[in-house]
Amino acid sequence: MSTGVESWSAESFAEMSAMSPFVGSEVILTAVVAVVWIVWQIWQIKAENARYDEQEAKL
Amino acid sequence: MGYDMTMEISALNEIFVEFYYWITVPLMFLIHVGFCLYEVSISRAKNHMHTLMKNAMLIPVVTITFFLFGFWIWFAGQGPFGDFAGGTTGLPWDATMGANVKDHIMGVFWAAFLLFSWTAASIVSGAVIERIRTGAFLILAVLVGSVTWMIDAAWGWSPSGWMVTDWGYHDAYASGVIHGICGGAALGILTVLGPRIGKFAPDGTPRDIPPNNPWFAVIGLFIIYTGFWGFYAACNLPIGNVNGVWTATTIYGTPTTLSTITFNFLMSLAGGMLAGYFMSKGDSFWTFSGGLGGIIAASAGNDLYHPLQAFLIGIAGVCIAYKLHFWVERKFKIDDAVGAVAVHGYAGSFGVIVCGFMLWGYPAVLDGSATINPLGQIGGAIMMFFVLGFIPTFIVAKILNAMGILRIPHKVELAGLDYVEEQTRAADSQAIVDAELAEAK
Repeated sequence: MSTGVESWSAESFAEMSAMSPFVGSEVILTAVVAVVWIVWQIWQIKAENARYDEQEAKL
Repeated sequence: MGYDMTMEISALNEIFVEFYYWITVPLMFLIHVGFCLYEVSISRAKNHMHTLMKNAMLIPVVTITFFLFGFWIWFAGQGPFGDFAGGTTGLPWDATMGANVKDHIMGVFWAAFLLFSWTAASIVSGAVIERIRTGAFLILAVLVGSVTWMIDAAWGWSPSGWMVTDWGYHDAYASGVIHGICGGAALGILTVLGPRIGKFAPDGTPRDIPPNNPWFAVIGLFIIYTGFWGFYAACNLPIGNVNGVWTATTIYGTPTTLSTITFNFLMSLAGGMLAGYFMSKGDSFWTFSGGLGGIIAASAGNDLYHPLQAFLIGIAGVCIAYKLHFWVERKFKIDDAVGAVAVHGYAGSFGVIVCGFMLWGYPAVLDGSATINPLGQIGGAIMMFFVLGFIPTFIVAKILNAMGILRIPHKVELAGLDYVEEQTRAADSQAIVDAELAEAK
């Protein structure tokens, strides 16, 4: 069982390019990370708006 | 056991190039440290933490978007206009965009570009302090740091960019491709955002809102000077064979030397500081900003200028930028809190244009198929400042403003952007004091 590289032998190393685990999952990872970024950005704007509403109410 | 000397030297050369770029990254980190220190020192005490966090949070947001699509734009946008021949290079799933034994340089190269992106967004950040919402700023930071500056770099800061091959555009150390565009972008936002409350008297006369900590602000600028060395080094390719001669080259593949850019960096800095001091009659903020403006004004041609030319161009660029700053402030009621539009936008655009006259007829690319000329540089300055700088941020700022998420609410701006934190901190401190007193009794 290996998530990627199984050997650093000369033969394996000569054939190797990508060394990270789960090679082939990069497109899915890109989609996941893009969603994380967009969700964070929306959350940040909502949180900031709520904070200013609260602050305005106190002033 | 013998060595294959050709392979050894080739490997050493590759490792040297990797290390060369890698060392520019922590140097350029200092630019961001300087920007944060400078912005916070310029802002009033009631806005310190908001100012710091607004700038600091561009780091993760620009970094992730630069990984997702920003770097790809640079590769995709090169070549003839609209060609998009870059393939998957720079996309997150490309084999070189991660741990890869067959490619040692891409991550370092990516980081060098990314630090330029942070600088781009940070230039805009300073101009808009004390009244822009962090969320709106971060959207605009992504626009400038991961989209528009990468388009201009693809078009005007690569040997195959169409502005270079068709117009002869030359901008070795980014007078226009970083500073011009960011100055224009800042002006686009400021036009929509409006001035800080109290910046202009009822009759329209501008008031000075002095820095909270003037000497810390100039220390911030000093740190930016230091980081700027990394920026200059990252603009070069350290070793290239130019028609049989080993030399450093610009990003266009045209020859320069480390000696040349070291002379010119320091001479244009000196010219800019003298001019800033002269114009402002010894004001520390404008003297140090003048140093930065001097470098920026000479940067387009600092690969080839004589040091004395760099010195004089630094002086001229800062004098023009200083005069324009106050004229625009009075005429259009633009409140550029740190002079970013002047130091980066006006000095940078001046630098791009003057380069067209100074280096008129020089090859813009190694094979000489395009030459540097005034018209190409004037067109380039307009492209950077207005087309890719001012217009996109103006439009997006208008949209954010219409959505009601661009500007801090009026009452909050008056009370201070750190009001809630300060109240909470004071209450927490008092609670601790009360508890300790109770314990003492």
